[in-house]
Amino acid sequence: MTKKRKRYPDLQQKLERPWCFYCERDFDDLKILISHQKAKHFKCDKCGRRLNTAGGLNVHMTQVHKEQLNQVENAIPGRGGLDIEIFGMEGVPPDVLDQHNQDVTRQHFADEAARQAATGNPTRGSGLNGAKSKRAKKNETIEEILQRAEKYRIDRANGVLPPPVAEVKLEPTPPAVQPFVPPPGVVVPGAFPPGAFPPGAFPPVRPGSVPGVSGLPQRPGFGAPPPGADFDNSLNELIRDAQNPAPAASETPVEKKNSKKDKNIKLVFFDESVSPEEKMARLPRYAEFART
Amino acid sequence: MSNQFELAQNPTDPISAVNFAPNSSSRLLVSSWDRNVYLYDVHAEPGGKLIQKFEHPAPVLDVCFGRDGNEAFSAGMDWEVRRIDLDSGAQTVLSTHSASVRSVLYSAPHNLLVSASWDSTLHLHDLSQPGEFSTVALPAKAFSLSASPTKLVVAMANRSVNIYELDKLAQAAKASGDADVKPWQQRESSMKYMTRAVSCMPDDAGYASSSIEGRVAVEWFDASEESQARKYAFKCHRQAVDGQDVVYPVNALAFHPVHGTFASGGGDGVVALWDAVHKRRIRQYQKFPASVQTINFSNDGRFVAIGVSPGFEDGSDDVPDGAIKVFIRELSDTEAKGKASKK
Repeated sequence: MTKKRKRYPDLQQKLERPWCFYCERDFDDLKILISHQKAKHFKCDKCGRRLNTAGGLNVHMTQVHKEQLNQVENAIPGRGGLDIEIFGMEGVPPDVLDQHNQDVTRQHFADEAARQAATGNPTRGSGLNGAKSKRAKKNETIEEILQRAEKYRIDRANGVLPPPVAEVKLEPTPPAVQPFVPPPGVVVPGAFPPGAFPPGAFPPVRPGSVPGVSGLPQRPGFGAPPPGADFDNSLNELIRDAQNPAPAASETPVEKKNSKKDKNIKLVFFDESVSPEEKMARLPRYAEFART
Repeated sequence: MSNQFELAQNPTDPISAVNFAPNSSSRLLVSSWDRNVYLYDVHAEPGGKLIQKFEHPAPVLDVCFGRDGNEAFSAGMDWEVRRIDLDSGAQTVLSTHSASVRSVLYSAPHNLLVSASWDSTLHLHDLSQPGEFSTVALPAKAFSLSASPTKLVVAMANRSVNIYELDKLAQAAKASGDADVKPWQQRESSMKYMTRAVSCMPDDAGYASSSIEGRVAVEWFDASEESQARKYAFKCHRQAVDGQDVVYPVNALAFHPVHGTFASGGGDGVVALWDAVHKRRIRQYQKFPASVQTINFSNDGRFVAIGVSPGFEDGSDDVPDGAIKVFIRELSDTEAKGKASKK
């Protein structure tokens, strides 16, 4: 069985997710968001009662515990105010909502770009109507395909096709071509009738062999390396090109991972063996009191 | 929150340690780099009352209570371990290290005072034999000290951790001079960076340690394979700033004496409560105005004292300016309880 492809939610799906005003966390479903808010932000830390809103908690605190609630718990800085009445997604100020949607959108495209860079896969939709894929899709009928197959067979019979090219180029001896001789009676289209060699074109040493026809590309094996060599080179190039980006692509993600681990971290304090207190003790204002 | 307040009279320089008395949740000792040890009655009046200040010749790096609420021990940059009579204010020098003394710890069941210093030694003081002490050599500078009912954990430089049996240490303390006490276990920190703090579980099962790189590891004393397989570490006290993870040292660790959960305090000014057994964060408090340097729970677990002061950051020439405050938070019954233990 093939591995199931991971589906990434699209932007619309992400924007539709309910999220918590106090901690910016998002949830699958509004019910979960509301129970999250009751448990994390509107829970009385004296008796554990879960209220529906910050205002409700405030009233509860004043009436039951005779205490004043100043801030919503576990809120990110600046969001803990009691002046905004939040319930689920209701009451979120439009500017905060806008900001959140922008953040989600930015994050979405950043994620997509990161995924694309890491996997090399095209982004969603680009295969169909977005950026053109490298090879145009061919629409052909059965007849066209059959025609092409026929042409292939003929070309192959004429030795036009490349399969043995590599060897032939190194060993331009005629016998290598012998198997390609069509059986007598089969008339290759465009070929001269047997025996009617164009004068001086080829010595009649190899009767039965298909004579070179000026209209057809040069057969390999007739001491004609150039087309074969050309092809060979271009093939090699293709192979090289195909090989080269591959390791490069597999290297970059590895580097990226490392940089994620190393670069994107800033240690506030770092030393192998000297503790913050020891460094602090060396400061002139403390060192003057230190015993030596 | 109204169940949290700050002490009115705070030290003038960074706070090195806060400690509640063993027999009351109102007496609190605070040691500071301003060369003083402060004794507060935190509930006498709103904002707490400063009972007395005990001046030292050099910055004080640690302080702890002794046998009762009237005896304290301090250690600091004057290389000396002192006993302070909190009633009279009289100070006696118990022993002198050959470098600054980082930590002092009193173990009540063994009547033993342990001091740990950057001179890579422990001094053991049997308090029934005043004036005598014995020395235990450590493989590296001591950074943090913590005791469970039977074990003593010493976190040191080069990520080494030694675990001693307090019984053996108490025995060694009876004979003065160099004590040849082999550690019960010698471990290497499971974290890559320098160990910052260590704290033992009150149920004697294991300990938590923290590093300068925003990480906390929980380990068990039991050396059996299945127990060691249970050890784990997690990241915390980090902040994403412009796509960069700013990682703060975890300066303080303290276990709750009743519920067995623990608090961590970091350079980001955040205190979080964790359930070590269920691997859950129970809660995280509002950010404090400066780096959290030290945390201590009161004996009954009802209060937590949090020492906040700007921490030394790498690359800075001085300690940055910032709030120097001690916060006291009253915990509700369930606040520090682990999730599963509720049932």
